[in-house]
Amino acid sequence: MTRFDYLRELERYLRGRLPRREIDEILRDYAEYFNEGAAQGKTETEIAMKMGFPRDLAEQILSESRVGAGRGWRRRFRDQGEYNYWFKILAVVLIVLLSPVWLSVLGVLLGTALAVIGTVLGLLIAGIVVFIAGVSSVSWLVPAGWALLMTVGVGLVSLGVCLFGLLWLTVRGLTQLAQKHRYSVFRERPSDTSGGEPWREQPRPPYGGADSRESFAPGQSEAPSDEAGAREPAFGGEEESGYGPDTAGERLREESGLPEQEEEGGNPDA
Amino acid sequence: MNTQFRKGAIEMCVLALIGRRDMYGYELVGTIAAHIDISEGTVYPILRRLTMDGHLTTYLRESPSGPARKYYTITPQGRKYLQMLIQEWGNLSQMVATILRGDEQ
Repeated sequence: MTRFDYLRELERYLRGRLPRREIDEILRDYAEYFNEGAAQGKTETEIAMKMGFPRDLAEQILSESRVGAGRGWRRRFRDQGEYNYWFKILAVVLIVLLSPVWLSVLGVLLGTALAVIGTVLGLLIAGIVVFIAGVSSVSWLVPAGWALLMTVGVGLVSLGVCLFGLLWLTVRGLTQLAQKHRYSVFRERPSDTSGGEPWREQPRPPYGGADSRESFAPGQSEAPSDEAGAREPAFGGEEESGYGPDTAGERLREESGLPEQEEEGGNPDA
Repeated sequence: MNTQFRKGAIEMCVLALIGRRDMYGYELVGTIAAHIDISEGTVYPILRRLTMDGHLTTYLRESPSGPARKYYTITPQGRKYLQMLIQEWGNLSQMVATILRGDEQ
């Protein structure tokens, strides 16, 4: 088998199962190998023989490569590099087009927050000022006058403190609420208090129970074909966070230290 | 030899060799193939994975004979990983030797 045949055969086995960019890089590496061998005076057939069958090699490349080993949706989006690209462009266009909407909503929220904070601060300052005015006017005003001023001052300050407390409680409540629902919104995972345990008990063989793995475990254990539609929302959610779906998934995998284990486990049948 | 076993060993050899000095693919494959019986193609996928995992980085350098060669360098993370592999290897071979000798009790 000549160098040309070998590389073409290898390309045929990899095509569609790895992103184009990666295939080109792999072919480049093996072309370099053929070059070096030829420079050492070996024939192309000799080198090809030593390299092993293209098919076996392709199998090994796919099993070593994180995306090639048949992982559902991530592989699908890796394969469709172009689709991914257009989705990103669409997202940017949508963000720009919808800016009147989300900018005004943002403005209203910001305005409300500032107004509330301003009111509280105003009340506190006014109360303190009036109170001080009452104290400092002791000497040259009728007794009833400064007593009144001081009372009004104390009243204003306590009103301010009450409002401040109310504000603080509201903010804290909202934060807690957000934290409670964060996982279910962004990671398709029930919050820790409610459905955490039953979910965990579902058998997901290769993925034990570490939290970081759960978010993408379901997609991977399912067949890539029939969950095409179901995967889209999750994909969209991650896209919003600024990373491509593959990048986000990659990151999770990296953090969980999973690839080695998985790779070793998945290989015997390859 | 068992493939899994062999792959782990080759991975360790690859890291150890590149840890000593930067090497290009053909050179590396030749060095390993001189001592271990492997299909020469199988080293590249391991190199790719190690690179993707951040244990190695690559750069191109002109060769005296023809087109540029891709050289591999070990990263600090790769060094740490190699240390860990060597230690695990030592532990494992010690345990296996114990059992093979029949000293396990």
